[in-house]
Amino acid sequence: MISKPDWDVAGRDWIAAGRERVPPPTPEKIEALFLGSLPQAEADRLREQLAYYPEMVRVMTDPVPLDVGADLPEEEVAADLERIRRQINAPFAAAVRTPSRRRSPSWSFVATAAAIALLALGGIAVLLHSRSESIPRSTKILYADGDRGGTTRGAAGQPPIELTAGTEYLLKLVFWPERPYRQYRLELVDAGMTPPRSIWNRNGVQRERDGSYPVELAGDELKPGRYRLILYGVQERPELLATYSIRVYAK
Amino acid sequence: MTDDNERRFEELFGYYRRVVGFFRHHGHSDEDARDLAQEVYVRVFEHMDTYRGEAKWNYLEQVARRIALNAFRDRNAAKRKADLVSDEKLANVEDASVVPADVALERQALSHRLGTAIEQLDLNLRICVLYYLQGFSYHEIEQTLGLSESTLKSRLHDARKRLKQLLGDDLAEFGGDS
Repeated sequence: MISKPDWDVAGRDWIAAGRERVPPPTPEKIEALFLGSLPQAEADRLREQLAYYPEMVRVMTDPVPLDVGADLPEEEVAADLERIRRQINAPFAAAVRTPSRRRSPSWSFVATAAAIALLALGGIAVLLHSRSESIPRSTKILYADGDRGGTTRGAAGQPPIELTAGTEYLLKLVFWPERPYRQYRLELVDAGMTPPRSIWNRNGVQRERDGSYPVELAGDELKPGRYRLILYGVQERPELLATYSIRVYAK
Repeated sequence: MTDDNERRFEELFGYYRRVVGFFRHHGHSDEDARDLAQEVYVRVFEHMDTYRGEAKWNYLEQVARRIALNAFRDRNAAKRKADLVSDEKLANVEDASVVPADVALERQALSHRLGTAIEQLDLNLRICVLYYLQGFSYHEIEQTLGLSESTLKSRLHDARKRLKQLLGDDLAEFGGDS
């Protein structure tokens, strides 16, 4: 008879080996799972995947005691605040300027400087404009990736929509939610980064009568690479509705 | 930064120690926890225009979770890379602490046998067993999988029964409560 400790060790060994073949899920997927916005089959697959990564589960579920950081000395807090301020001060203050300001001649220099500063930091400035602020040169219809089972409409296995850097686009994201939401939210993720990183988001995106969510994209601010646009419906909390893959090519 | 954003940012910074604590709690060193907490505030600043000033800690915790998950993925990827290097180095190293080959082989065989049996379980049972083997408490498994206590116990019971069929009498003590 094999003892319980030996079986437990065998179980742990098997799970440890499992981490070699099962990659950790993305934060976006994990958040969607805990928001309850994944189809059942996908949710089950993700739960199984997460079983190999208890640390990630605990990030989502563990209540953190209130006093775990209380002993951090005041001078260290002050030093950290200073470091944060140094990181965010000039470049980000310019980057958060509204697109309309960027477009006015008096701000063009500032906007260009901000874009250069962001690129130097390895970031990307993405500017979306209201329809009244610019005339898009090209309209693209985007269908959801089709990787979300029954909740995603549109053709399954859609290849990424192809955009060219330096061109302005009106993107019309197509998606019919099963119920209306109070508002919609879009997030742009740089899928070329490891791990993929959110680089922009916008609340209050309007849904048109034809079921599309128009959004203007200033392609001159996007460097070539892979991106994902993620559409959320927001009621009490954001629920992931659909993702749209984009590939931007150089001019 | 506008005055309004500045004010909201400072209000959020009032939670800085707690954000550092969040990362400490999830196993990061003090230094890493502070670095990650700073990343949280940089991210918060980047999205300050979309933050409406409500539920401050919930908002910060949401950002911190995202950063913690990303940090884990980075660390995991780095570890895997390091493991590959280590394997190459170990090929030429003799170490007295290394488990004897016969013991290691026996352990590997047992692990493989158990794993093969677990893979034959239905998905619902398999997920419960995986979390159980990871050392999650019943309460944690219930919370993570959204199951009631009775459903979880029933699934683990069914899983044990099925594993026993697959593994024979050797499993008599595995996963048992006694």
